[in-house]
Amino acid sequence: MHSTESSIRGFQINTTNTLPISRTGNAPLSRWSGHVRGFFRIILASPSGIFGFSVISLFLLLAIFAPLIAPYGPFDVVYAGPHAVIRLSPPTWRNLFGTTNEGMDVFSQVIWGTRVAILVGLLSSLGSVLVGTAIGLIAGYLGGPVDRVLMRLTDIAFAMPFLPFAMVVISVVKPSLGLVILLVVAFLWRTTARVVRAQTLSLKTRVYVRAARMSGASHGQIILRHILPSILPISFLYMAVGVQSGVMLESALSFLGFGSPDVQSWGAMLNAAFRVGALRVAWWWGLPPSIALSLFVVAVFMLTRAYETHLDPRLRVE
Amino acid sequence: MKRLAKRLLSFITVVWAVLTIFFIMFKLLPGDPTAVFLDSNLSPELIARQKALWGLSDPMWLQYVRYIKNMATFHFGVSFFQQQPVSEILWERVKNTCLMIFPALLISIVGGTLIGAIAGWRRGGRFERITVGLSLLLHSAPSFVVGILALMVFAYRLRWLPSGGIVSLGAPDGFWQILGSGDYVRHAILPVMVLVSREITGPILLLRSSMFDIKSSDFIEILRAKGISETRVLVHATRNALLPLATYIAVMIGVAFQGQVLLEIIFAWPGIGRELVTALADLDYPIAQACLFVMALVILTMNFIVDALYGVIDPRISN
Amino acid sequence: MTSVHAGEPLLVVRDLTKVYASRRRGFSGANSDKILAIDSVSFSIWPGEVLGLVGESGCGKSTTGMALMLQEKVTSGEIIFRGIGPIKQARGKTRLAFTRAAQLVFQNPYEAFNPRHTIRESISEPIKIHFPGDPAHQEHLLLQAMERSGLHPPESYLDRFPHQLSGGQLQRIAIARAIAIEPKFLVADEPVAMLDVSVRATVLNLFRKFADDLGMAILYISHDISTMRYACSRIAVMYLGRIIEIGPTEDILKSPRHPFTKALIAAVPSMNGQGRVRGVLDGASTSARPLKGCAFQPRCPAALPKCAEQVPALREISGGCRIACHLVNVPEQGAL
Repeated sequence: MHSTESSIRGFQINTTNTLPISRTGNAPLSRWSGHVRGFFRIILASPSGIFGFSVISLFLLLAIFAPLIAPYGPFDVVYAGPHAVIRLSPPTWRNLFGTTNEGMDVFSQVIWGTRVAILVGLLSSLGSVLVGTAIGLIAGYLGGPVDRVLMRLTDIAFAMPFLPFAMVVISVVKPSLGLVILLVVAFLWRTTARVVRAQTLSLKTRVYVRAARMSGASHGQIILRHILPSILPISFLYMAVGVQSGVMLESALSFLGFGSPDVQSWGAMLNAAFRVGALRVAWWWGLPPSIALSLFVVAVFMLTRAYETHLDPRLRVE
Repeated sequence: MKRLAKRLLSFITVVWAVLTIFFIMFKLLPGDPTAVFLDSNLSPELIARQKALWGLSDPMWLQYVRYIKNMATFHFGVSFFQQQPVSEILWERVKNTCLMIFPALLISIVGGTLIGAIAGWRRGGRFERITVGLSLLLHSAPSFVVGILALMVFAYRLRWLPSGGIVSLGAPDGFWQILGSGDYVRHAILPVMVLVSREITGPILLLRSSMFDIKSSDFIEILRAKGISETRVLVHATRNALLPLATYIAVMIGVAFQGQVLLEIIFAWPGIGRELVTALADLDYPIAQACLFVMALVILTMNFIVDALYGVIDPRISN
Repeated sequence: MTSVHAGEPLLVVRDLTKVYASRRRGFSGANSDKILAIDSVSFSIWPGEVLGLVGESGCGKSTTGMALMLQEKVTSGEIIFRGIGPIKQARGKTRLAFTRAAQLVFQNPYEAFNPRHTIRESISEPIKIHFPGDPAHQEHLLLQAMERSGLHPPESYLDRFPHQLSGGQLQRIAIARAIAIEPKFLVADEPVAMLDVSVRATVLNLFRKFADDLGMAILYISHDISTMRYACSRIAVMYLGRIIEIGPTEDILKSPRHPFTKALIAAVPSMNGQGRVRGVLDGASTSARPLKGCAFQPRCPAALPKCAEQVPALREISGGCRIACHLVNVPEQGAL
């Protein structure tokens, strides 16, 4: 089926534009480091890539050094004196982004929320790409009844509306961050699976794959040597996209009240603010998580876009 | 025709599989939904009898068969909470959701096509750069954040527009009455514009990239050689570029139907998404079940239409 | 190039037949439903000889080559390889043993290599599969294969990528890859069809060298009979799935007997303008076969009434030549 996401991006995967471009010689090890270096060269070549990369790096630093940067814990209440909780205070020097209706420091919450975002982003994207690639590979390579069954499974996955389905599941089971990540993985794998399967099918019929088979290569060797290397750029791309989707989906669920109560994600912050109607007055509470979320997601998008544009120059704006 | 039949068969299979998954999920939901209505002071026999009446004590497979039959015929039962037939409630909600989605999609498609076509035609201009940049930004940004920001700015701060609901409190909320009132328009502007800001980016980017292909094709050269004005050539080109858009629209509708849960919550819009959230909170299973089913059905139907359209539009496939 | 066969043949093919069931309904009868890609093909190949298989496009020669490599399923018939057989399929350990002994060179050198692998990696692949764990021996086989394929110096090729090399070089590399593990049997499917004419002789001489020096049995498939003079010791002519003439190269080229063979040779442009037997073919190349009788009969300039009735059998004439044609009077003899 026709992938609309890739048609918006206008992206066409072509194995020739992922050819090795190493300048450091053609031996395998130096070729890989050449790839990594080439990757950075690509990313940093365009303004959107630079923007995306710096913002993500900033978030990464915030997440890693959160305990050092955030003045308070995510659920700590701020006191002016004994029994004097500072509620709904606009930004002050003490609380840079003000406080919530329960007296928690918004600035700290945003910083701690970075950890949730990075964690959810990484885990859900990694999981969904692993599952999606595996299923796509197996379906594409084996073909026949296995392919049909797996594709039927993928069709069912494509039928599922994420938010409603996730909400119901979370109602059944206790809400937790792990469950959210699991649900995101269960939702995202389907896109990768379809694309990987299509690519595997096309590669399977190549002459050099038949030649390898006739050289005596086993199926495993063929997959490892000939098919996987062409699929990895695709998987990598979808992993980056998955970070974006994962964070957005987690925020959406948290905003609706289905997120984990143990973590203070940006979505959860917005949920808290919205529920008590504080957004009418306390703009300092609603604005920072909104901006943080938008910035994060847009930055990841810019990064993937920079990589994509390199692979398919038609997308470039002259 | 044979291809269509095969597609229809797989459509039905997937619907059935989805229904089964939902059934299992709902059976696993904790809590006894009947506890809300059955006074625990009643004798156990009375409780058991009432449960039997509701069909809750029948063997699982019987419940399953009945469930499938009901769902397939859109007999959704009666809401636990609101004591009304679910299908009536749902129908109202679906109409409300449509009142938000369809204006937004209309504006997005028409506007997006125009903007995208011009951007793709005038490649390299400032117009294209700004358009594409903005589109990418809005396409990737989470729409509910935009919604919250819009709410805060326009409704709370500036007080230009109402902050929620489909009509003001106390106003008549029959479907045609809503449609005709200016009140509805006032309430709808914010959610619709937020939705547009995201949905319009799809057609823009799509039209732009398909314009690239068309612009360099031979028949455009021929049109120009004929001496037709540039604008007319643009119109010709746009018509051809619409092809991929046709299938994208079907997908848009499917996605919009279930993605608007967030916007409906933010703007207190009484649509099907919001209904699901409240139903889950109230443990009102008939409504929750029905909402979920309708949403999945819309997506599946749209996917099916896409497949069917593809065969019609591109004759190469139907052979 | 000797036409005397010593010892046992490496490969024996008997009555090989492959039938495709056509999806379309035929006009009449059952025959039009089936396509006989290979029709009762029988021949043997001895070690140290190059057998050329020639015919028009679609005559089934490539299919035959693939069938010998066990890449195509055959409907009936036997393939006996190195005295073992009949072989149907190779799985598991037998697959490893078979691929060690039988290799294939493809027609298109540009597509025969993974564009992301260096030449070294591509050639080493079969070596590493069949000789794991012995890097010294692997290196030796690699360099030996390069040497034998005329790729001097090896270093200038090994670290390059396929897109950096020409067709002729790539095909020689493909041959190097095929012979690196020293197989006993090689099938070359139109190996020079996509190469410049100037390069063809170099490649063809390689086959001859392999047969003479290394004792390989080689099946050389081509639609161009003029290329066979260089390398082949015997030639088999195929038409619509049947072998219609087979014999030593000199005999076939100098004195062809079957009308189709005559036409093939006559069609070769001659540089010295010597007088040749001219045969005119009626009609265009076609894959439609008549229901009865000789498959070539519709286009044969010298067809007898008998040709439309009875399929001619492949019979021995003399000196290792066999021919399937009613025009050639032969006494009844048992087939070879």
